[in-house]
Parts: sequence; C-alpha cells; structure tokens
Amino acid sequence: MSMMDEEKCIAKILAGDTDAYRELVERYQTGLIIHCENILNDRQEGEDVAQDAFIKAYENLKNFSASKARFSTWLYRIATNMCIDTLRRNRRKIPIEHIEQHLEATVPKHIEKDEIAHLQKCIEELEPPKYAEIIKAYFWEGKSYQELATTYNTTTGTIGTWMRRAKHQLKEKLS
Amino acid sequence: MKQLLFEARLIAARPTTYTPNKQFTDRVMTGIHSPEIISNYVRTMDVNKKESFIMKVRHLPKLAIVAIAIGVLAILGGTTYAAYKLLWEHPSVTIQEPTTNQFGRTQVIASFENCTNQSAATTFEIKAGSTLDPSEIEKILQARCEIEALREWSGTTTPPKRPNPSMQQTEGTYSQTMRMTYPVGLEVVSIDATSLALTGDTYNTPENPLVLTDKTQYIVDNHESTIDQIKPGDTVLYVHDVTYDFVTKKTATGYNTSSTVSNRVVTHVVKVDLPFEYYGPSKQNQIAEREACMGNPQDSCVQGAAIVLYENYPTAPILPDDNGEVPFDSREVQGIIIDHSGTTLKIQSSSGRVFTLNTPRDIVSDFNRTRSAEYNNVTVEKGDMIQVRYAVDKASTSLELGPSEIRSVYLELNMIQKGDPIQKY
Repeated sequence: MSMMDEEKCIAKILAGDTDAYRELVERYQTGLIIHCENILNDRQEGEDVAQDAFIKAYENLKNFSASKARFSTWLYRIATNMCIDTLRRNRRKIPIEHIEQHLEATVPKHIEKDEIAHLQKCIEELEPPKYAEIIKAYFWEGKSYQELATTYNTTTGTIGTWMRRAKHQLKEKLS
Repeated sequence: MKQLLFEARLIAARPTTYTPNKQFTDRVMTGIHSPEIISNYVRTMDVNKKESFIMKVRHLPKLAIVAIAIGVLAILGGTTYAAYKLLWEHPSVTIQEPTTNQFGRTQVIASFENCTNQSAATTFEIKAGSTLDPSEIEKILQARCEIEALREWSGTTTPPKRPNPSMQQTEGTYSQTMRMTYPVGLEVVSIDATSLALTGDTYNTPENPLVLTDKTQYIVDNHESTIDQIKPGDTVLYVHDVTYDFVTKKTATGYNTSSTVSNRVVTHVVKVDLPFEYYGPSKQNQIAEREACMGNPQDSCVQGAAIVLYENYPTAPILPDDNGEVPFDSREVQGIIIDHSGTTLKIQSSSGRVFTLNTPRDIVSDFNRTRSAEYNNVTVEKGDMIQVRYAVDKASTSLELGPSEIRSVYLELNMIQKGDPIQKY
C-alpha cells in the first residue's frame, strides 16, 4: 500500500468506514507484534500490546496527521509507549535507549520490487528447506517461536538456533 | 541495530499471497466495534503477564461499572510457555514491619527469594477501603510468586503433533493444542481419575468438571505425587492443554482461518498451601505496588487502575535523528493536585516537588463537565492523585511541562473488586 493509498484508507475510516481499518491491521500486524515481542521479550504480551496499540491508534486516528508522518511510524510509537508501560507494571527494567532502537529498526520499510524479489528468491534457496519455512512462518505469517517449536516437535531454543543460522545464510546470500 | 534493520527488510518482503493472522485482526476489529474495549494500558493487578486484570476506563456507557476481568485465558489463543524442569524452587517472601506512608496507606517492603520477576526489595501498599491485615501481604505475594513459578514451568512436555502450518494456506481443517496455566487458585470440590470439580472465586471458577486423564500429573510440595494426595478442600492450581480446531477457507484475496475450542484437558494439578483466596483477585487486588517513577527516581508511583483524562500522540518529533538517537526521555510522575486554573494544573509529587502541567485545553473541567457521568459522577478535584507521562529533552530538569511534552494524564483510582463503584485514589 503506497502512502497515497494509506491516506485514502485513513480518510475512509475517518468518514465512518470502520471496516477499512482491517486493511491497516492486516498490513502492519506481523511487524508490530515482532516489534513488541522484541521489547517485551514475551510473545503473548507482545501480541496483547500490539492489539491494544491498534485499538488505541484507531481511537486517536482523528489526531493523526498523514502529512507529518507515516501511519506506521505513529502506530509503532504508540505501541512502544505501551510496551514501556507494560514493562513498568511488570516490574521489568530495560534501558529506554534499547527500546528506541527497536522503534527505528522494525518500522516497516519501503523496499524496491526487485529487492523484494531477490529477498524472496534467497529465502526459497535456504538449505535445509526448514530454514526457509521458519523464516516465512515467523516474518510473514506471524508465528511465534513456541508455535514453531510445536510444529517441528522441538524446543524454542532449537528454533532460535535455526533462525540464527537461517538469517546468517540469508545475509551471506544477499551480500 | 543492523540485525533489527535486516528483520525490517524481511518483514517488508512478505508476498501478498501470505495472509496475516485473521484471529488477531478479528480481535482488533472486535475491540474497535465493541463499547467494552478492554485495554492492557491500565492494569489493577499483575499476577500474571497475560491473565492480568484489565480495566476499561474510557468511553464507558452511562452508569457502567468498570469491569475488572481476568483477561484472555479462554478468549485469546494463548501460546505455550518456555520449558522448565518439573520441580521448581519454592519461592519465599519476607516483609518488614508495616508503616504508614505519606498518602495515608499502610505499606510494607517485601524481599523475595526464588520468585520470578521479583528480586529487589519492593514496596506494596494496602488500598484504601481494604480490610486486609498487613500480615496477609506476605501470603498474597507468596501466592503470586507460586503462580508465576508454575506459569514459567508449564509447557515443558511437547503437546501432541499437529499438521504443518502450511495448512493455513490450504483449504481444510486442522487442530492445534496449546498449554496454559489457569491463573487463579481454587478449592477442590471433588476429584477422581477422570474429573476435577472446583469452587471458590465468584468470577473465575471454570466450567465444571474439568477433564483429567491417566496422563494428568499431580504435584504436592513441589514434587510428583499421586491423585490420592489431593482431596476436597485442598487449594490447587492447574495447567491444561487447550485444543483449537481451525478451518481454512479460500477467499478472493487469499486464505482465512477461523478457530473454535474443541477440548480442554488438565495436564497438571498442583496442590498449594495457602487458602484459595490468596491465589485470586479477592486478595490479590487488595494491594498495589509503589515503585520509583520512570525518569524521576526521587518520586514514587503507585501501580493501579486509572481514568484517562488526556492523551496526546503527536506525529513529531518521534523519529530518531541521523545517528539513530532519539532526542527525548520518556518520563512519568504522580502527584496530588494542589492547584487548578484553566489549562494549568499543579501537582505535588511524593518527593515534595511541584510540577506544573500546561495542557492545550482545561482537561479537568472538560472531564467534570462531559465525562463524569460515565464514571458514577466522580469528579477531578484538588487533593486527587494524577499520573503524568511526558517526553522531554534528555538533559531537562524543568518541572514545568508544556502541551507538546505531555503524552498522557490519568486520574488514579483505588479499585479492589469487580463490581466496586469507582473510587479515586
């Protein structure tokens, strides 16, 4: 969805077409959940906070100015604030600067079509095939490490190891 | 940073044929459509990360009572928790002599051993209107630690195999089983080899009886035991496998998957020592934690339910600069209102400092005039406790906050039980 399409989508929502918000949720949910999971270090909490962030963004949509920033950046800022609240209420400490790094790093990027095609091709070429499967399941389908561990009848630690190897292999292919 | 930027590219490369998680989308849309939106943003209790009490304190219908509800156990598809050994170290809690704090609340300082997420000494206060004896705080925290220990441990064994996740891209049905810990302790009514009936908590007793099998394990005194060691009248916690049946259907834009719960089987029954009340909201909600305010360590902030008076999510400045630095600090403070004049509010924090809040509109009068009726006619007045979240320059020491710096203002509440009328802190 281009920025113009996004502006039109937001305009529709503000005009009363609530269901149009589904498009934004579907577009950003995977990345936002990962963003929150990275900060909170807990998948379920990450999903809960991401869900609430979408709701809060919807409720505050009239305050959002598409001319000043992308919706995704604003949404991620809301989610980050909520993650900070969650960390505070669960008595967990994390340096705020680490959270700010997460904000920049996982906000959706615009990448060119040929880069997309190249990335997708490199993912499909990962060996063994399960590496490609877990990359797609985590980053494209929004599966958690625990769900992947269940699927592959293994532990989250092993999934983490496969993920690291898969990403390392991908980076070498892309370099 | 580089790692995270790489991940952003992976996310951005998702093909359009990959459909997002429909359940998640449906939950968000339900939350938007429903007037009873529950929000993680405000919590009254922190017994469990997921199954915490969640309060809805915005846009309630007239005369609505703030709902204190256990979250998501049966509603949201949970995830299994990290695997740990079967037996865990028994957590312990020690509290110092109670004192009365500057807010007139009885408080204790508690220290912990073998308690997940609790290491440093922590201050807890008894909420106003509570009938709790200070000596009970130790039991409440003990129960909290025991539930957390079980939560962390559950999910050690592998649930039954389920079909490949690519089934979500194929029309058909498949099942997925997830292991979850019920976050409330209850009293045994009856127990035999195939069923467990529980009672205790008015709002949180599950549908009886629960299913037990020959694979159900029984734990007493933190070690494996037998069913005959658990008797009617005992307090138990339990872990269960919940099976979801998914149906995937092709649509014009891809695939959509819906789910229903088809089965719940108890995998572990854990006998615990304290009366069941201490493992549930009736006691857990009687205390609140008081901790150093974020960014203002010389002040203390109490955790708890609150009503949103004002929120501000500006679009700028929120982006990092070219060096990846974010130019501001996120901070919070709580204080008693000592003066209100139009768009200016003065609050005095626990350290005695006076913060001046300058808001774009008169948030106090606005609330009292237009939203008080939604909250049983509670009004904001001098002497009330306010929490402020704000963003300022990292080097800022100013106690005067402008409209562009204030992110949110809350009226702190003192809520104990579900169904209680709204009461200010």
